[in-house]
Amino acid sequence: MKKIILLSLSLIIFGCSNDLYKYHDYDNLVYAYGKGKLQDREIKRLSRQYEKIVTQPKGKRKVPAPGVCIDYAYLLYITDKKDKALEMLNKEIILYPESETYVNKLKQELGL
Amino acid sequence: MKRLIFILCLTVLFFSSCDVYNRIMKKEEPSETEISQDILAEITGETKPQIQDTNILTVSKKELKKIKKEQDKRDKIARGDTLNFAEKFWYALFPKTIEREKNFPLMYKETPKSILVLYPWNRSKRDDASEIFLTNITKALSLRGYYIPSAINSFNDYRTDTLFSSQYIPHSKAKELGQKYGVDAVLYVTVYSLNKNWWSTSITSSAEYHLISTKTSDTLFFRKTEFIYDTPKPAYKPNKKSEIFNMDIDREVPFFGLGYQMTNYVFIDFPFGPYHKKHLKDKEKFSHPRIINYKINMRLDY
Repeated sequence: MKKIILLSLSLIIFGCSNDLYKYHDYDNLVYAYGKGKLQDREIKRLSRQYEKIVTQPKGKRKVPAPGVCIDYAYLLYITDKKDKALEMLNKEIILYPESETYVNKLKQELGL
Repeated sequence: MKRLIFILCLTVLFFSSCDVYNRIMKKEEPSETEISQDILAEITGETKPQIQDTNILTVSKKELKKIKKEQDKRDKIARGDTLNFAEKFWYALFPKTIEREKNFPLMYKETPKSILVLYPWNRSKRDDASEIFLTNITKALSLRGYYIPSAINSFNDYRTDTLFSSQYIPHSKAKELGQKYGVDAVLYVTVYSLNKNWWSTSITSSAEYHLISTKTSDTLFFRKTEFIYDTPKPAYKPNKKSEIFNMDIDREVPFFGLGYQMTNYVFIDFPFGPYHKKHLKDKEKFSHPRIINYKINMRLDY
């Protein structure tokens, strides 16, 4: 019994991550996007992966990491989901107010 | 008659050609000659006034040694190398730690909240070095508690020529970028090398980082790094569960891993941002010098 308690305690102590945000597969996705032109089907899969990052935020702050909502909004915009893209851009402003200038500029560029 | 005319023509031609020769020779003759004073003195026989422009001193060996020593001392001071042998040995064993506040005073003075990472200037031979560095830097700085605008959008801006790479944007234009993108600082990255030789197990990279304030155009953070990674442990573990875009284990993962490790080491002493609970509480923590060489070598010597 003691062993189990010790093991569970150590798991709680060492298992908790100190990171502010949980990135899931972010590295892989951004690197893949940066590397080359993706086809429509791949972009849809990419946006599905991003959805996971945005809807299941973990880490200490329990919000999506900075810029992730913008990334997701852009992918939604490409796949013709403009309403949802606008929603995501507004979400970024709510989560990170300092992003207002950047997001507004992007909205203008995309015509949202 | 015909012969006479022929001979006459020949004589006319001969004399005219001689005349041409004379005319050319006259033209080619130099009208003015440019000679040095020494040659003029030789021709005219006049003695040239001698100017003494060097002082020759005879110095003994002892004095010469003394002069050389003094010169060396002055050079050392100019280089900033003021430690004696014992001090150097001591600091090699126990490196001197610099506090973050002393190393990056402007970071604590200006406290930037958002940082725009420009598309890195790739001077290495690898095509994807910029992508590797941009991806890793974006993540590392976000985890330090700063707001970093979208990485995907940075790629788009670069591809559509909306925003150039660090190469073409001078530091003086940081203010303009600040107004345009609403950021407090701009990070310029130059990747000098990212390579692995076929005969070696180590991967090396070198890069330079400049964080420029958009308010004052001052350098808030500077680091030049050379990084060598040589361990049997992989530098980066790709997500095997990833449904899509698995990186090539031999061709891409080692380099991406090096970029990941290098970025982590470079920003290990970067002051925490406003989204981190340690913001402005890490002033007295350790900090590395501005120019550092990291070598991670865990390979066993047999």
